[in-house]
Amino acid sequence: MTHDALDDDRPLDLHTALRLVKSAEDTARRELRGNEALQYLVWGLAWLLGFGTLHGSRFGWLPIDHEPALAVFGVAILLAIVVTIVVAGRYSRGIRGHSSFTGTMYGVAWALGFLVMGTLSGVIVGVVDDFWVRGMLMNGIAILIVGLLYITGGTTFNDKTQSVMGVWFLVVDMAALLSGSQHYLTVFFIFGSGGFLVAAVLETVRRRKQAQSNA
Amino acid sequence: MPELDPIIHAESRLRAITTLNEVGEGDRIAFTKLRKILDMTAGNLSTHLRKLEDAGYVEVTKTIEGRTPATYVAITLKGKAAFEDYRKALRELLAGLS
Repeated sequence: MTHDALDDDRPLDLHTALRLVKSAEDTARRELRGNEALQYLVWGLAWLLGFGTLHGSRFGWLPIDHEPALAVFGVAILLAIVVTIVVAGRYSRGIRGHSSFTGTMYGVAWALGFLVMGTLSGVIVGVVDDFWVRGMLMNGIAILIVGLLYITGGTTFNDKTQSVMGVWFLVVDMAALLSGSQHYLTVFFIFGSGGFLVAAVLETVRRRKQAQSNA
Repeated sequence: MPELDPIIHAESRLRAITTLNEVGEGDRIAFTKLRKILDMTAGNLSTHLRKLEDAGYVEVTKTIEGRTPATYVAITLKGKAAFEDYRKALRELLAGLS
């Protein structure tokens, strides 16, 4: 329904006014900030598929060679990146001012971080022969960037969940690195992907509770 | 007995100022995006924004994006304070009813 009538200067019932405020707040938050749970789900599934395929290839529960498994991982991550950029673009469109600066710089930080990581990966490939040790080093660095940017993203956009996830990814990364190249993938496959999926569920529950308290 | 600000206490303006209050600190929202979120016609939204602007609650700026004119809207500090007072008065009045 389009609110087209100009007769809404009429007196407003108090309960109706409160309901209008709450419903307008819900709509605005949804339209301006999007659904973080959906983003976490997309990344959780991408990691589950990517790390899962690599894990299956390494431990033989999937009939796939290492190189094609790495390609599957790359495609899964690329798809998640595309979804994230499209969604972030949709919500930032039509907004000017402070948040467009912070949003742009945050995006630049991700891009530059992974550009440096890509460059470093080239160096690692040149000096490390073992396929899985290479993977562990590259992923170890990638997750360091992810963890730090999630923590700072949470503080920048006032999103506690995001900061907690950043801490979680760094802890998992450290634990996985300490477990050695033999177990790195297993630890990451379970607790890295799991972190995103648990965050998606918790965020959904939090949103539902908030919507119910507003009803 | 607290009084409700008549500028805010009307359906369309209440929805508009609530939405503008959710736009980030120091940010402005495009008129077209605000219209879409509120599901209002351009004419109706303009009318109500003008009343809010006259009261000093919102600031409307016109700019050029590429070759197209664009209008951006932001809540002012006075608008934020008035909205907060409105919500407080509304809560108090509702508490008085129960």
